[in-house]
Amino acid sequence: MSSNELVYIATIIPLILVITVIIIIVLFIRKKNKLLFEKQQNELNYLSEINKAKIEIKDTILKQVASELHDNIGQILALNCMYIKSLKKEYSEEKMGMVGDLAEKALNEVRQLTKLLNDDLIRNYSLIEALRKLKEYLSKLSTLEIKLSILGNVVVLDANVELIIFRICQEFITNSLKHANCDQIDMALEYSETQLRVGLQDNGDGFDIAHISEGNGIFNFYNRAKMINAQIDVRSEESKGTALSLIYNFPNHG
Amino acid sequence: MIAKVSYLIILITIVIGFASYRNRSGILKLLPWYLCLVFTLEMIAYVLLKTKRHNMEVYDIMTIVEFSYFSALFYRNAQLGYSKYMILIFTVLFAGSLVLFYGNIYRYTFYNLISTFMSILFLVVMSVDYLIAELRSNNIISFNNNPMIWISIGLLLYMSCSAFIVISNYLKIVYTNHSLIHNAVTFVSILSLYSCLSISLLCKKK
Repeated sequence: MSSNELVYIATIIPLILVITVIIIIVLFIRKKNKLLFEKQQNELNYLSEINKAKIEIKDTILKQVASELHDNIGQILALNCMYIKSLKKEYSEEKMGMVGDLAEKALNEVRQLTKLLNDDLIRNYSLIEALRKLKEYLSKLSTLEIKLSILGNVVVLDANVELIIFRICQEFITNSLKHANCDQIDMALEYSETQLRVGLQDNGDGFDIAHISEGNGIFNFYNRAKMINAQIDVRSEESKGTALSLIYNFPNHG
Repeated sequence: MIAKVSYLIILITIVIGFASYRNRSGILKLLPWYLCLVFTLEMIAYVLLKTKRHNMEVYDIMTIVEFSYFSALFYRNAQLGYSKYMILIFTVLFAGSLVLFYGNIYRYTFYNLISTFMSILFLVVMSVDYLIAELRSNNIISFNNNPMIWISIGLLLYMSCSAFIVISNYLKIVYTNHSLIHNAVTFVSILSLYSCLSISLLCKKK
């Protein structure tokens, strides 16, 4: 082997090794960056979904409050106006007493509403308390009968997880009220040592689940459940109501 | 020929270093000055070689300068507490080896082989440690604004080649029989180190 050939070989072999090492490190770092970027993106999506859920909860409450103002307090005040007008024509102690009672009733309703508006349900209460408040409020609002049963020892979950579960329940109830023509909703939360099972059932019209499009609100349930690594199943049959079942495994129990 | 190309590579890196001087801060700002010092020492070693005198003392000084600069750089950029602690221990051990040699307490060869070898080993460990810490961190690594990544890669490759050269010189395997291999490996190591240093000098401010 000539000395020139030896120099070429002795240069090219280490050079190839050096380039290979650099390429491996660069590829490794790029792969790591890609994974980190995806992780950060998922975290951002999670946070944005949490914020979205918070806003939706507020929106739903505001809509309910607006409807309460219109249907309940509005009616009480309208009735009160009628009594006041008739008092102008003809004074009577009985009518005066009715005016006072109605004003007091309206005041109480406004107080209750103000309390609801000031409450950030999930921030101030646990999931169970928030669901109880929701049930209490909706039962008062309509003829809808809502049953809430809690089984097992209640486990306090991460605030964001509770928020998402609450939002799923709230959305199910809102959908049932809007579209299902139901008069009864059963909510059941069952805590075991390893998981929380949430069951929701209405006795409404139901729908054919095979014919729903991708933009349907049902997919919101699945997306939200996926965010907290929960398993969810929505079943519905025409004229047999809709049922939702969610299983959330506690983090330390896989 | 190889030596002249190597000097040219160092000179190009120095030019890049001063051209992009404003892009850096802290110890990294000293990098072009460090390169000037290395270049001066290389020139002195070259002149000594040409006048048929020993130049290993110059390389001994270069080892001290090299270890001091890069260990300080890694210390300032260490992300983990244990890395800083490790660098401090390495510095003490390296200083101890200098005391042994220059205090005439223990001299294995006429040049400071122990310090040279320690410097190579410690700098390889520091580079690997820095790279591992970066790879394990939860930060996205940018090749455009992270000069330390390029310095670590360059130093790792250069020091690995230097380890090969120092051991082969000491064991008289390669140098005696195939000085061409020695020169070629030296050239590749210089090329990889100074290419990486040039890239690091071109990195933007974070």
